[in-house]
Amino acid sequence: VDEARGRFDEIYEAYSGLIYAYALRRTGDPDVAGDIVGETFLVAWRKLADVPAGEQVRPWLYAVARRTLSTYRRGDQRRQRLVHRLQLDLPSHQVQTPAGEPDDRALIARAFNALGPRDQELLTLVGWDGLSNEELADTFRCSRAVVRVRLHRARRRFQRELAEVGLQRHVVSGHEPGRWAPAHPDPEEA
Amino acid sequence: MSDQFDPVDCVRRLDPVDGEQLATEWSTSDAKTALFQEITTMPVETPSKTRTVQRPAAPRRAVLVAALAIAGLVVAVPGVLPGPDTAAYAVRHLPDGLLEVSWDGDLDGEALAATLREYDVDVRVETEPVSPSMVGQVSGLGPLEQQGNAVFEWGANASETESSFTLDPTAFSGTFYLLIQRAAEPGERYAAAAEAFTPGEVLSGLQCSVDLPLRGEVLAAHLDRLGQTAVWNVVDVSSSDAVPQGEVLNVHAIDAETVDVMVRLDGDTTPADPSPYLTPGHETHDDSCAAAGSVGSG
Repeated sequence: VDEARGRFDEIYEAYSGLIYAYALRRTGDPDVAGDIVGETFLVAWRKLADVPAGEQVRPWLYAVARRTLSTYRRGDQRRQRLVHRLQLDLPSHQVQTPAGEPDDRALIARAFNALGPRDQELLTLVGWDGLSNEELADTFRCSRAVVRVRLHRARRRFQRELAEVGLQRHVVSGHEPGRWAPAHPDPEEA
Repeated sequence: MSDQFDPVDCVRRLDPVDGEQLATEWSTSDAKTALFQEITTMPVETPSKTRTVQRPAAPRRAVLVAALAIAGLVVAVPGVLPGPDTAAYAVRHLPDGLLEVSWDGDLDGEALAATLREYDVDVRVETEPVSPSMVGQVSGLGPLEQQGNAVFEWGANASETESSFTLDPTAFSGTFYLLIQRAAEPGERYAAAAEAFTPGEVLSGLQCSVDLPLRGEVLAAHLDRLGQTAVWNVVDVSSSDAVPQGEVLNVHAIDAETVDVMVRLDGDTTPADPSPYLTPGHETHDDSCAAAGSVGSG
């Protein structure tokens, strides 16, 4: 038991903050984020023998947190409400846009909101949580090639939406008339 | 206006949380400590020697395997890919009340669902879009909740095409999950795809009418003729839309109009795993080459 507790302690110490940030970013609610951390690490504790070693711990935890978040969004009430039961006071450092300052974040947000949930999830796991392609593949349990292609396409779609809101040059490729292509700088236009 | 906005940088700018400050406060918070203490008072599961997360190695032609995200209990099914027509499905009643389901070749998902429902097992069937040659196959099955090894257990002698499991239908109280592969709707992305040179797939037979090794520029011309968009993946380099100078190693469809092409650049000696369809002696793939006239000539 001491050995298990020691290993769990290391995992919890290293990754609970990341999982809490992951959940808070997606729920905006510290209590819910705390519940997701609680349930994610409860799974890790109960299935400690199944938790992989080394660099694979992180995507394993993200995969569990992702499922837990999905369960929460479905309104499933079977979850153990640890945070509510313990009445914890959880931190929340949410970014505030400075009032009155010109900020194209609103335009970026509009472009981002036009993406599908799958693209949004991929891009935020990279941009917010810093997951590598390998970690994404482990999190989604798919091959790296699949992740690479999906990410490539998500980036392209986001670039297209950025162009739609005026934040990206819109370049159409020669062999695909009418279809959007990645915005490569055009020396003649530069 | 700026020419380029890096998409990931833009996403970072939307980050609703100050990660550094949050990490600092979390690391010293009472909540973190309280959660840890609460969690570690819970019982730990005893590791089981027959966990159901065994995932048989997929054949090389199935690079794009769908993610199965059902609590880690549903596993990919052996023999889900195009194989010999040896499909056999059998249900056996064992003396201890267990039900043994076994199959050789492609598992008939509807038959399995019917069998389980006969025993009042709650079966949930879901489908996922796949490339043409994979339609109708079962790509995942298993209980949604862990119920102990006495209730559900994979057979020990699985092979690439043969598999079996046992289930105690009287003790089973949860939901049994079945993931069946279906044809994609127009424009719908495949969740899984067989190699594009496989019989029934978009490039079936092409390898029979081109010189091998297949060059990127040669394939590009064929794809253009077929109305296919290519996402070029050069070995160990990120994707692009430019046709690379190198040897095509394998091709998989992403959806009905797009293929993902893996290329080894000229001069690159990185060991790679080429398609079995793109090697000398391809004439042995009779079924595949039969369609050469419709795809490869032109």
